[in-house]
Amino acid sequence: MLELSGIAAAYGRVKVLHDVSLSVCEGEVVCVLGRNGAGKTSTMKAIMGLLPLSAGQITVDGTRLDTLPVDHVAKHRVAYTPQGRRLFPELTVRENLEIGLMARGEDSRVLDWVLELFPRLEERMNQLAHTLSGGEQQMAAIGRALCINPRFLLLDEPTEGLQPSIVALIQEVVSTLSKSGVGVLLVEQRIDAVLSIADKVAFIENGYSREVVPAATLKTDRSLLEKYVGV
Amino acid sequence: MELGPHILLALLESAVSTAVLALTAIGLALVFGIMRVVNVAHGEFFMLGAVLAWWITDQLTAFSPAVGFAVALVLSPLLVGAIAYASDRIVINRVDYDPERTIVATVGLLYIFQQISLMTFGPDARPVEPPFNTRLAIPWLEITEQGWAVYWPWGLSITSYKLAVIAISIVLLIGVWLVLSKTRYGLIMRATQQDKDIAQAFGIRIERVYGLVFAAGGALAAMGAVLIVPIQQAHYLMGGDPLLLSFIVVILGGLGSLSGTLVAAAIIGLSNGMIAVFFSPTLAKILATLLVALVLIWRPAGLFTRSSR
Ligand SMILES: Nc1ncnc2c1ncn2[C@@H]1O[C@H](COP(=O)(O)OP(=O)(O)OP(=O)(O)O)[C@@H](O)[C@H]1O
Ligand SMILES: [Mg+2]
Repeated sequence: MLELSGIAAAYGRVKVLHDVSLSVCEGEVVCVLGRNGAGKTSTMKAIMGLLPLSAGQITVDGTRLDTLPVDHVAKHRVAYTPQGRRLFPELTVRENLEIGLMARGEDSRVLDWVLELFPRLEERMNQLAHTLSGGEQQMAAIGRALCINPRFLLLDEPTEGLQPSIVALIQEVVSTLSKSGVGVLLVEQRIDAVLSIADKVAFIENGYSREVVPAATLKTDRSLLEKYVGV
Repeated sequence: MELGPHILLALLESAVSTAVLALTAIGLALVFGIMRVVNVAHGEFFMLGAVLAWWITDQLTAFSPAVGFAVALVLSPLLVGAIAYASDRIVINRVDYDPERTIVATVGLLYIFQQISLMTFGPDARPVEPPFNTRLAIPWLEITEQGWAVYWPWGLSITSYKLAVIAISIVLLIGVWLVLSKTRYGLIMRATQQDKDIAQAFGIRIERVYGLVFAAGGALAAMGAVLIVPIQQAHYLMGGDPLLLSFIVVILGGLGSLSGTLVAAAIIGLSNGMIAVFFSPTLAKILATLLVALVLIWRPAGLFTRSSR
């Protein structure tokens, strides 16, 4: 289980996370919902060690992550697909994926699995990442994270600005992953998508975590959605 | 000598210093590109490389000059690489690679290295004997009444050692390119350069990368220096010129762009040499510095970078 308990964090003096707690079990899809600037991306950065905590703790199966150096988080099979994709722009798709494979010394079996999930990447292997289309970039960014063969995957707005067919493909991949036991922490603005693939929804507001509810309840009762996201 | 042979001679001589400049500047470009550190002490790594080369060959006078030189060519860059690595661990790392503080810190390193060199090896300029030094005459073509004829203009010659400097530099530069583009380490360096946070999220230990890059940068400057000491003597104040020229080259080439750095090294090295021969070395430096000022105003991303980025 990936667990955040009472974390707080700041960029310099600007405190952005005050008290965030949530947990993701293996095979579970947990979606974080909140307004722009609520602290969703910051929460993910904190899990990856890219934003140091001032309080609270983060554990994977009881092992503290937040006290480890940033580069050790991947060793615990926690993978990150950041908002805006952030591929290495001047590396080819193959090289981007290799960086993922190297993190834990995974072999070509993992690569084959990733290319099975995203066959389109196979044709793009030798292309520089910054020349890919938006959809291809997102596939490569998720693929790169999957190359570490994660147990927990953090996906920050993976469908931002993408056409419906690619959104559907990404949703399909997320549910495939969760069926195979990967825990997914998802930040997603498309409420319909959230409700169809998430198990739980965790609301976050101004750096505080709020209600955590089963996604199914939101289908009938939209009051929480109105309260925290305004839809 | 006529103008044609004279120009060829000046070009060949400039090519020697260009080759050494390219090695030195690539070291600076690597450090800047990957670590975002402006290493003001880079010229001192060059100086240390040269002075250590003298010291090593001086210890090995019992052997032939070629043996001493070969040992120096390997050992001096290794020693300077180790010194650079230690500088990274002890100083640069401690100021968190902060762009401004590293400038101040490396200015400090510059004086420390100069004074250590002065106190250890003294103020004298030290010669190193070239490993081989055959003078090779170069033919020239002229038109006579019978058509084209080959002749050997008096004074048009170059030493075998100078040709070797050019050749060795090219081999070393190809080596740098191969390491960067074809190896795992090169891939890790390029990823770190492009996005250090994401690199860390994928398990790359960027501080280790930085230590190695700083060592490699110092070692490259030292290699250039070892190659040049049989031509110019080693001296504790010799680091200024390579530092200035490397900076000019790195700025013109587009900060951190290796191919740009190489092209800029060729332009600056050759034009600098030609202007120095036909006019004066001071004019050469004034023009190069002026060019940098203009580039910084009009094309701050460098002469060769695509304007979209
Ligand atoms: N690098 C930074 N330096 C300073 N403040 C930052 C930085 N990054 C984010 N913030 C601030 O932290 C707060 C939370 O930002 P965060 O990116 O976590 O929000 P978010 O919930 O992901 O929003 P969005 O839906 O727009 O992606 C915002 O107020 C933002 O301005
Ligand atoms: Mg965000």
